[in-house]
Amino acid sequence: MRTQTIYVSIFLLFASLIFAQSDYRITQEFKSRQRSFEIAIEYAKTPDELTRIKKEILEFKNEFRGNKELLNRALYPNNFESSFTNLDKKIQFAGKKIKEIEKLHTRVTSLETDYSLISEELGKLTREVSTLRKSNSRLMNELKAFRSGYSGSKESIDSLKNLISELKEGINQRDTLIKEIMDNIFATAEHKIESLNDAELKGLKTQIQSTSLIDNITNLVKDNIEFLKASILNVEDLINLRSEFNAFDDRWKHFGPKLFNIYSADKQNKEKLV
Amino acid sequence: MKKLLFLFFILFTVGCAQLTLEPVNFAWPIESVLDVDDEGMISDNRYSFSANVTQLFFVEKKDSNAYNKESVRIIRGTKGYYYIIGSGFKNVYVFSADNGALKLHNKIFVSEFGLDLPAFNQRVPYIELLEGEEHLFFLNSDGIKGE
Repeated sequence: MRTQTIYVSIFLLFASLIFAQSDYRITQEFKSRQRSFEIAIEYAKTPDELTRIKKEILEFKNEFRGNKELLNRALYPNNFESSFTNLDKKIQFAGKKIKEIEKLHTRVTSLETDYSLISEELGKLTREVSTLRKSNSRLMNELKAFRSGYSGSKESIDSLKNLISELKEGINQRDTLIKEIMDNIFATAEHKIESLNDAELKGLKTQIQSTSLIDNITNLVKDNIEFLKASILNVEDLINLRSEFNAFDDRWKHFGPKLFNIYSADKQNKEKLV
Repeated sequence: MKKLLFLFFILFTVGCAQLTLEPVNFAWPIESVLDVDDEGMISDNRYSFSANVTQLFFVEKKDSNAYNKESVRIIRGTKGYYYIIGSGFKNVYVFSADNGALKLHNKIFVSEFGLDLPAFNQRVPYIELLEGEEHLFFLNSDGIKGE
């Protein structure tokens, strides 16, 4: 046993004299692997990836621990331990960055969901406006036809009253829906329209176009004029209409210039708004 | 009194001239691998060292343009001598610093056909010479000191 140990020792001594490694090469390999880890940390996308890199760095550290003394001298002004402290700091920074990105990603997803819900709601409101407009138009035509053959009988008066009431209700509903659409579109952007970037402005324009907002507002005004011309309103209706008009006017004073700004470069729609 | 003053003056002058700081360890921890530029210059930022090596290549390879796109490996030993070798070199050149120049102190023959992958390691008090991963010799400024 003792003889065997001596032989092994002699062999190891001999081997160490024949096989040697260049200190320069060891240092270069260390630096190169350290740089690879720095790049891997920089490109890590998930906490799991960072954990894996951390484990690999620990293996790397153990692998080079035998050359610690050499590396302490060769890596000046750094040393063996400070190289790993730097890697550790980079991992911590990357970890914070990944968490921040994940948080922002969640926020983006939530905003996308909100956007999708609002778009859906806008679509629904726009369809309702369109249906109501058709219905109102039909009622208006019926009213005109009825008035031309109006006999003055009790049934005729009741039918006329019903028609007028239905029409007023329809127009009210349509106006309310348009107001809702305007609120929905401008809810998130109304305070920053002047500072919207091109993409945000494009998104807002798309929403305005998809809901035919400008056409709906134009139709609203036309229909109300038509409604007044039809001379079917009593004093109470006129008072109500006046208050409606004032409310819409307030709203228009607020949203009109914003719409005008958005369409400052769009001649066709700008003319509709004038 | 004059004699005493003269004695002090002599002692002071001799004392200044013989000021010696020791021991000094000039050893670089690892060799530097330096590319030779178009002018034949090498420079090392870490040790603020630069030198022109065109003459070295001429002596070793008998060709005044042999330094083109070459590199040299250089290390400084504990005594302050610079050991230089390059790929294909048959000798290790040992220089001492001398008044703004590197003065050849010794030329150590190490290979008949030249070394392909020479490398130095600092192994105080010696410099180890390798060929790739093979240990060749331990050197000092006087020559080969054993394998």
